[in-house]
Amino acid sequence: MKSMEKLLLALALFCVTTLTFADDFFSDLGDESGSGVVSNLEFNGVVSLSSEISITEDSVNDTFSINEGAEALFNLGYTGDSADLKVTLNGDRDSINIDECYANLYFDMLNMEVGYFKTVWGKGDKLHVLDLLNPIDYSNYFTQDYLENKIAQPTIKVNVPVGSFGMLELAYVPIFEGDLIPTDGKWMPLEVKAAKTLLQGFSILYPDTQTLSYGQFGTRFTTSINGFDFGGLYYFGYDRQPTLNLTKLKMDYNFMNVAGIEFGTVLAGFNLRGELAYYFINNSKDTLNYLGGFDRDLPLHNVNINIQVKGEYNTESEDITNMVVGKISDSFNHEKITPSVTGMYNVEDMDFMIKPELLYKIGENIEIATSAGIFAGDDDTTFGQFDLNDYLSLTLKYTF
Amino acid sequence: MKKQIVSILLVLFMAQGLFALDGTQIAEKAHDVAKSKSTHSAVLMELIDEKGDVDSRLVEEFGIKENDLSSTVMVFRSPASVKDTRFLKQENGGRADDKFIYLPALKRVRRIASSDGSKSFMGTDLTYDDMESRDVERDTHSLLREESFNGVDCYVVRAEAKDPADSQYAYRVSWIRKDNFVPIKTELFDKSQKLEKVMTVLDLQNIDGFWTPMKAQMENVQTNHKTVITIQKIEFDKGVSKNIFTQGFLQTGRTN
Repeated sequence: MKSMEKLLLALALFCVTTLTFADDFFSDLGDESGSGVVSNLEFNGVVSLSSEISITEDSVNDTFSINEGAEALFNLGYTGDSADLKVTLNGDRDSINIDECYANLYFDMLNMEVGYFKTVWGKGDKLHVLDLLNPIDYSNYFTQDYLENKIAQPTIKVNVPVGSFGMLELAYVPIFEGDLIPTDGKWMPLEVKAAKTLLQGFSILYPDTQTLSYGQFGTRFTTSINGFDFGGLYYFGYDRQPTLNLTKLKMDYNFMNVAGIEFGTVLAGFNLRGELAYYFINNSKDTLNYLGGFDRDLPLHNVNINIQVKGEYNTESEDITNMVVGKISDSFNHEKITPSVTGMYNVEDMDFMIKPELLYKIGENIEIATSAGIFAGDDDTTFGQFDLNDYLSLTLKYTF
Repeated sequence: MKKQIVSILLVLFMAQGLFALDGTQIAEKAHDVAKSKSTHSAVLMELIDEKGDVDSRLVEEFGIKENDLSSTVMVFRSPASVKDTRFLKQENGGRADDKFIYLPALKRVRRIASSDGSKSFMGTDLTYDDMESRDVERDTHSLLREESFNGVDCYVVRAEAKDPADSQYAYRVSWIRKDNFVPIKTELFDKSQKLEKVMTVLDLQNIDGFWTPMKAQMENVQTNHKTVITIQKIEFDKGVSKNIFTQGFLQTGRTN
């Protein structure tokens, strides 16, 4: 772990050592409540066993490729009078990692989060153009959930409530980390494959971004008036997708300013949301990025549909790319059985991914999930390049 | 106008009254009950299937009422899969309620649209419509008879929506206690006129001057599935911070 991250973790832990116990409404219910909330220290988590089967045409003809794994996620929380501490560890049989570790300090007029954590910005539903503070891990991008793909960053974030529904957020991330793009394995993208072929025998230099000169700052204000949610954002940092400087054989992260707005409201049962952001990127082309969508319950059983469009307009080339993401879900037997189908479609390239999923809850703590990922499109497209990565997975999850 | 769970039970099961009343007057007295300015409660919801298997949800609720508009926050304490999910509903005069939810898995507060009223609330046997304290004038009320239920004299009142599209049910029949005008049983009939659900008060107590159904059951007689709601702890007018009904609280679970 880098020195700056260690410093923030130490600061977070120091803050919590001074805490006192808080009263809890449930404490005098004891075991009768079944809540287990009788102290200010909490421990919970998820243990999961999974098996993933490749279902490509080759595997049907030859042998199935099966990957099995066990993972665990542990949350340790401490609640005090004026601060909380949260530590999340995840791991498998090879390693244990700190997913998040931070303190939340509460003052009269504001609260401050200090440590190593993930921030989610924007009104979108697991799809954003304003969520800029954390890099994305693309190693298992299509099989993991949105928050799992985010990489926590050492951050100091001040949250100032403004009225009942307003919030001013000021975030400082002292160092920078680019997106984690796999350089081997089945999810390695085409661009990386091409670069590896082109640069075989050469070594590529990466800039040292773990310095204060790569610090980032972001501020966001959101509020809600008369049923209409809106907000604005400014980000001062770097583009997380690196560019290759062939003459210097060096990767660069371009300096970037982002100004954006967001909105959300409910109209005729449609839960509408949108984000709009202008990326001012040094040494590259500026882009206008947008997201719009809605979700709605249908008057049919418990069916819900969720549709979002995410797009980018290149101000120089005037190219436009649009991706449509849709999900339809239902639930049965008092929400014990939840089938859903998620689809992602790139309008210009006409490539797509479809992910059907079935969740089955056994009791209060056990869940079985079966899902599949099907990719299609031309070989040089976002989803088409993974045409041979179709999979079927089975996961058993125990929450405690 | 929808209410929190405690308020639902209070509104549905509390009233004051005298005698020689018609169906509408009885319904008005049940509806116009004096309400507390604030509540804070611990509510256990047990979902029991036909085999007797039980799934539980423990919810902490906060409610305040100002200018005849209520605000409710529900904090899910268990099971672990929904723990720390926080839900805020705020009534607005003249426009739809604001509803926000904080989901730990998304790590952010998001607005949610009003669900179709006939849909289940959190997988229970109660629908969003069941949690609604219907204005008296939306239904036609008729006094069917007077009879004893569980040894208590009751009015038996039938309520039918004036506009059939305004309710998921064809009609409802309630047993309303004569002594305190608290409904202690309600039968709910589906659109094909068949009995669908029965709500029964299992334990009624007067706490701080408020008749409070400490335990109630909603049974779906068509599926043999039922939900038992038990108020484990409740405080009336003990002072609930307004800071609870904010997005800041949804995000952190804290008022400071």
